[in-house]
Amino acid sequence: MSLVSPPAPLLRFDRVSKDYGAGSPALAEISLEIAAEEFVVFLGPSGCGKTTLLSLAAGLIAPSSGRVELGGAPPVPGRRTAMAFQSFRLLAWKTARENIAFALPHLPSAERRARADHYLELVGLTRAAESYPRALSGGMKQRLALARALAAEPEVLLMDEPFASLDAQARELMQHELLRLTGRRPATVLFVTHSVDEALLLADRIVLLSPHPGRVVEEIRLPFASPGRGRDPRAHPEYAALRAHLWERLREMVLKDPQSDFYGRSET
Amino acid sequence: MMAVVLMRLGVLGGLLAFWSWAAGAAPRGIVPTPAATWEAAGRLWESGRLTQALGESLAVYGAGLGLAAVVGIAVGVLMGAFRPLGRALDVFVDALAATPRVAFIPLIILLLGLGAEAKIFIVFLGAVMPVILNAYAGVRNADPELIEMARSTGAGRWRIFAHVVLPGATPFLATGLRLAAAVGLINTVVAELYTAAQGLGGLLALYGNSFRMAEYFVILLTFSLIGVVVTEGLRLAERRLGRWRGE
Repeated sequence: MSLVSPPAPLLRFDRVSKDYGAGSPALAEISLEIAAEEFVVFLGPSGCGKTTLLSLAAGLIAPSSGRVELGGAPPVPGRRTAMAFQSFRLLAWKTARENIAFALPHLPSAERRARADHYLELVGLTRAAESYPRALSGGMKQRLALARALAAEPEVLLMDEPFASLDAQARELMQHELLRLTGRRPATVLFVTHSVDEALLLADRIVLLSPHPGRVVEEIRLPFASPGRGRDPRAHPEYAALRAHLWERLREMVLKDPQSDFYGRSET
Repeated sequence: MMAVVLMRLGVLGGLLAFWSWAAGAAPRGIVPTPAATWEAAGRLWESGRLTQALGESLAVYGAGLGLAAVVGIAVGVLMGAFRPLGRALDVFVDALAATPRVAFIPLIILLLGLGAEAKIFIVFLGAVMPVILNAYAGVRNADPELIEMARSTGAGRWRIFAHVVLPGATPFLATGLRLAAAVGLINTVVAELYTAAQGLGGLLALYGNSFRMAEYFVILLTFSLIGVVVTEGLRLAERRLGRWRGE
């Protein structure tokens, strides 16, 4: 028995529901606690409210009921969180450097520029600092978007399928890049994905969500995760079993979801 | 680029050839030859009539267009930024845009007389509509995903407006201004014909009515020249401001 109480969670969802008023709520009764420097991956089929979950954590939207707390208070956009999106969401009329600087309004301008250049260097885009987004490849745009989120040096990094639009190779490179960068300057990460492999590669903990409404159906703390983040878990003996298990759960959910294209289908 | 210049010169040569042919083919005294028109241009220039008329017309055109740009962008942007205001007003803007502006001329003459104010107002009234409608559309067209991104960085309303909404609307603003420049030029002529005959429009009426066709053609070509200079100028400015969009 330990006399030391566990550290208070950094981010807490307390019976959080979100209803946009369109049929079933997006999220129903989500309760979660996320510790500082934890890498949590949310895995689930379409319609499980993953994006809503991140928007709530960012303070972009308020819950319909329940409470979201970041360090004991409702989150305020931009204060302690930063977001990265699947669609890069770069400002086409700003250069790469200006796009990063835009996310740092609280810094004095000289420092803003230095910080932007530092993160451009970290993601290997120093030579593209003066380029406009249209001149960048998909992978470069995603690295720029990632640099913008990291440059704010947030306590919590919120990532909404950030690599989903990249090809398989660029995707794998970016996954390792992310592990490298979050390893340099530890941050709490909430990462949303459809991909079982991505979840297994990145997560300390996987939270499985069901669709319509979004609910937590299972939480898995990975046996091969931190503190050794960054080594390839695919060689781990439990990897294959976990992967099969997650696939099966996802498949089940999709087949049982009346709003899915695969509803009611079963294997023959 | 070179090919474009050559093709343009080719088209210009073709037009001149067609003009020469038409001058010979049309009944005598209707279509002047290019040479006769050139001579008339020289006479008008030396007498100072052309420069004076050009100055008068450009003053009316510039004042009306400038006013339309300032007022139109302000109104359109406000309508787009404050949705209830936009929805309340857009019916009226559409109604006004659909009414032939020439229909207002008698009213404008009664209110403002036949002088410069009336002329500038007629130009303004025509040019302001495309500016308002395009500025409004541009602001409404702002990308909600980019706005959400900006919000996630903690940007407030003003910062979002200045860095996301307004730059995103610039292609629309440029289109509005180009349309306004064209409509404004038309309305400059209309104003000079319908109110106190003055400027290039006044000369156009004078020479047209007295069958001095060479001089008449000089005025026509002057209008074309103004149109080309203004649109090319706007296009150049647009390219300067819109480097991020590329060619």
